[in-house]
Amino acid sequence: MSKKILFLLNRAPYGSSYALEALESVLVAAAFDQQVSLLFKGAGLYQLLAGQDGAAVGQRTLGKVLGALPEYGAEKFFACGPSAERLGLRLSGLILPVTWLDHEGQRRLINAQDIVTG
Amino acid sequence: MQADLGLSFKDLAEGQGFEPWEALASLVFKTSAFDRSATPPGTPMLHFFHARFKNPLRKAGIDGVAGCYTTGLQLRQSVVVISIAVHGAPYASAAARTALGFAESALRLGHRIHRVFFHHDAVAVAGSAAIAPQDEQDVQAGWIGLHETQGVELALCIANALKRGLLSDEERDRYAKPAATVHEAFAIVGLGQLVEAMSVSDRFVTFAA
Repeated sequence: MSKKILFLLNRAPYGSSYALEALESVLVAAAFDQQVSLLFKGAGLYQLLAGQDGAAVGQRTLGKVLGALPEYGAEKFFACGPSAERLGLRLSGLILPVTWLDHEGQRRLINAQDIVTG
Repeated sequence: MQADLGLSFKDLAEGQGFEPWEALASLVFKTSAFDRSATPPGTPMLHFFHARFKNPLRKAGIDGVAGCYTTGLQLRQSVVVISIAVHGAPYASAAARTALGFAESALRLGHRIHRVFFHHDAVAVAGSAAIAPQDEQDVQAGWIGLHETQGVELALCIANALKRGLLSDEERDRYAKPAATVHEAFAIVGLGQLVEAMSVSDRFVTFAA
């Protein structure tokens, strides 16, 4: 049964293994025809920045995995506007085309899901 | 409890959808919208539930939730099929402990656990050589108990387990390592099993690190 699954991604890309390991779940869920959405929040926004090179810290480049998501059927990407403002992030040149949401928009997004996970 | 309140458990179950929900809201990424819309807003029972139990439950933790409902009530509600994801490492995170409490409570209430999926550092809970400190809860023993007595399926993400040195007999042989390190109650599986659990369960509850 295909479900609406939201992955809430709030971890920095290289500070721990959480971000990459969560993306592996996203890939598999998308590959198994689930209706996958991603919401980038807080430090998770750093995952979206272009020009990443994981090799510099001995890791896979997470941005490359992210960029491949549309090929796996994951096409709904959202990001937390207030997080970007707080972190002072430049919003151009991101790896994925995201829809920016305020807190109310995120509430509605989460409410519309069958499953919310990390 | 039913006599005290003058309310049936069915009312409670419908009001909350699945009653640990409220007490857990701050601990987990919560999941499906499973009949949350079934109860009209402003139901008197729901107000009573919140006023009477909300704060004490938060303080008491998850086992407190079950304690309120167990006696004689579990057969009157509809069975909810639940799968659980645990993300936090034992000891470093409360996730393994709270997830175990949640699972025990759900089973006591007559619900069914389809699968518990250990992801990220949570796979360490399966280490067969771990020795729990005498004055602390043995979380691994708790999970193994649920597996042995109630057949709860305990699944480790294969990629996360292998890179952390958690091997079954099969993986030990495959990679020619000196020892198998996973307790036999835990199975090493692919991420497809995570998605399958999401797909077939009424509820999927994540205990994040």
